[in-house]
Amino acid sequence: MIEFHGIFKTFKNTQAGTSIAALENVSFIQKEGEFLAIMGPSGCGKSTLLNIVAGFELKYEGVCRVNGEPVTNTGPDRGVVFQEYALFPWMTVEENITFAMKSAGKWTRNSSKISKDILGRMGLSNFLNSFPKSLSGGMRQRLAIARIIAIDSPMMLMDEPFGALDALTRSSLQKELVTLWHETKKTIFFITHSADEAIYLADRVIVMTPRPGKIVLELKIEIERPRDPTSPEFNEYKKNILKVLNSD
Amino acid sequence: MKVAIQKWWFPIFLLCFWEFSVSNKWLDHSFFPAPSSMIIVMWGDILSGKIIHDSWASFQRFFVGLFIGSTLGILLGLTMAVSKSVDFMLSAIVQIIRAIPPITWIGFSILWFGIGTKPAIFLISLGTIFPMLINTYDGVRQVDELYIRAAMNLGAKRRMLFWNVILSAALPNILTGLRVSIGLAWILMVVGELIAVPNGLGQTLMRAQDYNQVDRMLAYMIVIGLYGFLSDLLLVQISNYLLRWQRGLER
Repeated sequence: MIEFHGIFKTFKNTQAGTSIAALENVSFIQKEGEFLAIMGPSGCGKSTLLNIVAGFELKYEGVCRVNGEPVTNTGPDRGVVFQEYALFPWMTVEENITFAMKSAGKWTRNSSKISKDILGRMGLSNFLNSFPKSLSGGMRQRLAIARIIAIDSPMMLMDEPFGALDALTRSSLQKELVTLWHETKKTIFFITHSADEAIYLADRVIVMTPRPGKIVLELKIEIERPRDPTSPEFNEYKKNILKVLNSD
Repeated sequence: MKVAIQKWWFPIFLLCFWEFSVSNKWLDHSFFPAPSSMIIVMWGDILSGKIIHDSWASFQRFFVGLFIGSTLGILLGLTMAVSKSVDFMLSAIVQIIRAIPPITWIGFSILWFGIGTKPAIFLISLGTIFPMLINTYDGVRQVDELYIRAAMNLGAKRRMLFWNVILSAALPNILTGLRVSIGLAWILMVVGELIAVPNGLGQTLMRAQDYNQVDRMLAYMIVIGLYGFLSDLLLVQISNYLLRWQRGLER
């Protein structure tokens, strides 16, 4: 469970003497196993929220708790999937997984087999000895996801993970992510700027607006999966979200 | 094969032209010894074991000096990059000593280490510290924060963070530093051997100069050049292997 209680965060630019209110009084709770999407335009503070849960950002007002404990550092219980992949380019595909498992203290005698299984499941079997640079964007993000599965993180924090991918690759990865979520029952905290992506994926969508970053809408998406982005009910949700965003 | 021809036809053509110019008396042999006579001297010195003996003596100084210098350079560079207080403490000293040409240390090196192999090793070490130090420092400082974040998020402990992330990310810079250091080490090895050492490539070159043996002078210059060329080639090969991940080719 992830809890935010009255989070305020201001970024100060000491040289310019300016400050930006990135988050203003943000509070919400994400239940275990829930697929939650935080959606909003750039500058609305959605990535700052992720950085706070992940433990990258520790200076703010308010309380952020994960499973009842205040967040004081980062760790493998909250695996992050970055938009820029953040794979280690000097390690092969398999070495990236091995490094992740060893770092997380999850390396045992049959881990090598487990890592091969996970890579196979993510469609990377033929690339075990390739370096990330020779992989396509979609493949790289699959590897980044495989890394979080390998460390068996109960939570997956995803920071616009499909933002840099082409439309076709993005939609196939979205499908796979839903399947993966059904199989693993992970708590997914998903940041996106796309209303379509949020509605397609999540149980619940939290919509934010910038200056100052605050929550303007919370929507439970009650459409059966797999969802059809062209259906009337899908569009209804989308209209609601865009109405709120455009009214500002 | 085609590349080899493209690379070598001109040097070989130049040698032939040179040979032809000397044999036709366009060039004076005592100023420009013919390549053929140089090769004869070189071959004689190979057969007598002189070149091998000199090379071995020089290699030892080269490697010991390079090893001491580059190890110190890497260690200092790492420490300065990681610790701000060490960085502040040493940066002025490093910048000033770095700006002093290593050759100017000859006087003190003899004063401190006497004559022989030690001052040569001292000169090589001193010259090779700084390229390693600067490049290691820059490499570590330039490590993308994203990698550190990702590794910490995965739970990497200090040791893994250092070896598998920071040092690996800095490796391209460290190898660039090593390449510069190797180049400098050859130069300083010869310089160091000009100070009374009993043997070595630089020493024989010096003596050939004293006795006006122009063929031998040229032969030894070429030998030194070849060693420098080959050692650089070897390092480039090793670097290409270690940094194969940068090219994105499959292993």
